Amino acid sequence: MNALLIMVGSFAGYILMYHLYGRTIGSRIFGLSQSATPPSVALEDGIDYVPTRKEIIFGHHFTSIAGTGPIVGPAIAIIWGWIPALVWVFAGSIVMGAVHDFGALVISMRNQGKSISDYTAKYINSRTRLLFFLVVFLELWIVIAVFGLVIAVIFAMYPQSVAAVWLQVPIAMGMGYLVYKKGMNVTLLSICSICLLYVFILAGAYVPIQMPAVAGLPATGVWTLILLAYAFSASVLPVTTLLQPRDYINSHQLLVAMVLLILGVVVASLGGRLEVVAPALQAHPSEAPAMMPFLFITIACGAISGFHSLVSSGTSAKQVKTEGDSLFIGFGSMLLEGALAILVILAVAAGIGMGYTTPAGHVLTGTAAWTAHYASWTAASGLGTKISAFVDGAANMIMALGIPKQFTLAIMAVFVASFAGTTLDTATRIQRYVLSEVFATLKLDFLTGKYTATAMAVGSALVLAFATGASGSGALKLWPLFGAVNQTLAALALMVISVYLKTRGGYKWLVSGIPAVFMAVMTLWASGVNQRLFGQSHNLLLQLTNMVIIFVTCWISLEGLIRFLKTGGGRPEKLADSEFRGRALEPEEG
Amino acid sequence: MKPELHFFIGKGGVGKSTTAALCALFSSLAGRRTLLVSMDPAHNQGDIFESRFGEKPRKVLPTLTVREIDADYWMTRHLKETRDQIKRTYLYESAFNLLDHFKVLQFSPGLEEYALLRAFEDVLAHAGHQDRIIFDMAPTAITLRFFSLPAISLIWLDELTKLRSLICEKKEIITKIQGPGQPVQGDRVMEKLHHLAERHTRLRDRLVSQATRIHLVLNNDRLSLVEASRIRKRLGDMDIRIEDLLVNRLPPGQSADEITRAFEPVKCATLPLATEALIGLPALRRFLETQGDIFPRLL
Amino acid sequence: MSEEAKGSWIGALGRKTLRLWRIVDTVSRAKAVDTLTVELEELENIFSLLVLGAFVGLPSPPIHLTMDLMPEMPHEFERMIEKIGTAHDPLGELFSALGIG
Repeated sequence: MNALLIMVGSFAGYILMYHLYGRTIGSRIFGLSQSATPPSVALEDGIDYVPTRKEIIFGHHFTSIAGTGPIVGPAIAIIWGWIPALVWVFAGSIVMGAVHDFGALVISMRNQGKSISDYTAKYINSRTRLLFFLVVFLELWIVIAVFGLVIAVIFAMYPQSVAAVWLQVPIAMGMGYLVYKKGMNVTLLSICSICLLYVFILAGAYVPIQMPAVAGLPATGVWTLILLAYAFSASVLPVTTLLQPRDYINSHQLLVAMVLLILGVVVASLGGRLEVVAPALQAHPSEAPAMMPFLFITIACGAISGFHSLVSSGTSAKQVKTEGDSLFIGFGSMLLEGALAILVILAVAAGIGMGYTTPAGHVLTGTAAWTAHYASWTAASGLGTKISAFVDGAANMIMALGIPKQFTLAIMAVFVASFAGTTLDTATRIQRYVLSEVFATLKLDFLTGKYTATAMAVGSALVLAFATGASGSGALKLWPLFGAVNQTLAALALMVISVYLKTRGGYKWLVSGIPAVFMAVMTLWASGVNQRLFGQSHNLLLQLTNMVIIFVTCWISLEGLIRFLKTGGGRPEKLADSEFRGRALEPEEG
Repeated sequence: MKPELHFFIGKGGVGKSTTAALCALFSSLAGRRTLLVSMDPAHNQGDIFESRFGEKPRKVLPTLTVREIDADYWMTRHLKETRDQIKRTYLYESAFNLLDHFKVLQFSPGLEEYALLRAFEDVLAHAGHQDRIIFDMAPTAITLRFFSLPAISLIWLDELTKLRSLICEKKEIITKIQGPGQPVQGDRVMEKLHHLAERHTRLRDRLVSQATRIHLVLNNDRLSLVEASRIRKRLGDMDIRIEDLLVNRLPPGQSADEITRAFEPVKCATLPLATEALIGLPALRRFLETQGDIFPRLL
Repeated sequence: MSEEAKGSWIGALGRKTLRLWRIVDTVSRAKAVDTLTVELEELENIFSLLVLGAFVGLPSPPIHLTMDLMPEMPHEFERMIEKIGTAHDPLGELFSALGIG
């Protein structure tokens, strides 16, 4: 099966489905209307509410939601074969992910830009507020641990990426200082920083840094410790010092990576070297959880991600110029993220077949190269091999453009590690906030200090990371947990959208209701299986965590269901207008 | 030359107003152009001089003018000015809702002493030609708040200004990078903050300067002593010193030694119980003739 | 292709490229300040609370400071009153500000 065919086919499919399914949903279900006045116009104030071109909002929105998620998920899920992964990404992103993101945006837009979580909060009353925080805590806890391990694994397997990733810190801080403190020209400095970054990436190929095992801890373990210490330090700095410039530089890396990947697929396929080597379908690979239901938990971002529902559609919703634009932004950016996931699938299904050098020095090609990574769930260090399948596969594809392999490896490895690194920083910050809220509610005020809370955020993640074995092989167990919590949030958001749609009358709510039920069921099923697995391996921490996840999923599903059944058709509920605005904005009817 | 300022403070009923009046009369008889300002809502000066006084200063003698502050007037004026400014800068709808919230503000604690502060500013602004201004102050509580208001305001203004500078800095950076979202205006809030800080610094400096004397009036009893000590401490916290102590209405045969000792090194003076009611110019003059030597020390 | 057609084709391509560059530039600039913008907003909210806190039941500075500054702060006042509605969802704001996805 030719990779180019898959890529062109799926991209064309996306464009087609955008017009067919997307527009139908937009006009028939959500009733988008060109004549309706969105908040950016009605409440225009030149500060928050500014009508903006859809391409600009799109660019901003997409770069905010894209990250390491759509990379790691598919890289793991390919073990079940390329057809399931592809179908789930393609269909899931259209029917579930895009509907979810788009729906959240529309609801926000029709409520003066208030986030969907505001809407959700109406149904999560104060009694369950602590519970909600617990969900978020779990999510972030797992994220920090897993992403820390992801980077550690990359460092261990690609020593040539180490230097560049760490050097990104001073580059970002330098740019931050010069632009935000000294007021120097941002375009000039951006170009300089990005060029400098790529220089370091290329130079890094000659300066690999290998971490030795220290005090009985394997290299990955040592890196994890260092990275979590980094997370601590970075998250207590002011945002303009490191976070803002780093995030900015990353969004450019994303652009470069996607362009290189697409070009790589085209050139390599046309050269006849890019064929799919992964099996088409493999429902029960050795030692791995079954495809049903784990496929749907493993690929989260890229198909549908609950994280997005927490992303306050706030900014985007306040800038959308016309209701019609929201389709392009909400629906479209999710499809683009799906496209990214498909590129990842191609890398791990086909790209890897172009050649893989084992640690022992053998060069494998074709199916053998694939099997070296995916022979079993825990083959050759678990999570590590899955990620390396992507890095190697992608590097192979880009090589077709004429760039030497050592450089392409460095580029892709640094790309994944950079994004994961920024997520570490931001997740730690939010976790700090979540913890201080929880402690404050429990009247443990002495724990709410900035450094204490951060230490606890990082420390707890460290415990989780090492609970699965510091070598990273056990990290693979964590990813499904991350997926489970993520998809629970997604189910919740879909339920909220269903409630909204129910008030619009008829059976419109099915569009989000069915995905909601699907996600809830899959998550519960997967969590149930995990409970059994963890029980068998006697891992107490994971068992407990999983139980909490199951409990939370059930509770949230129940709350959502009750609310849904209580809602009657009729005028869509609006969030209470702030009395300050004087006149109430009429809800949009399509 | 800026006029000398004298404040007569003390508990209600100790004879503050009369003492202030006597002091003012003495000063004017000595040839100094003197303004007597009553900041006491009880407005005893009208009774003492057997005359009606108001915001418009009235001459009682060629060198003695009297003015009575109407705190309500100053409060209302401030409220009205603020309301008008709000109407000008807020959008119609917002203003409409805001003014409802605003109505509550007029009962806020703090407005009364602020009204006195504005009156004080007004007095200073219009009394440049006077040699001495003598203030008959309101009861202790308001007086203490009056004295502390500039300093407290400055503390707040300092913090607010720091925060606002930070905000302006960040706004500048964003504008520089992103281009202005709207035409850039100078930060009016910052300007206002500076303006307010200047004003309050001037007021505070005036109150702690050497040319300002504060006279604490009390009677020879335990309660007076206790309260006077409290006042002294509170003022001391603000770096405001008391010039001297006046033990008023001292009955014959009694001595104020205890008080004098307690307040060292602050100078203490005593005034005896008057033999007649001190009402009307002639009575005041007669009293001055017998107790004349106290007042030069005070002034 | 005729000269004019070629010329206009190139011109159209040039215009499209310029448009694309402008979009990329605007998005880049927006990204360069997105977290900073949120931080700024929070600072302004804190300032508003300090000055106008009396309206939402917070201890306030000497009331005359509030009254003197109020006329210059119509936006902040508006935003503060609205914030009361959204204040219970700081998580949403945080997640969007820090762009987790």
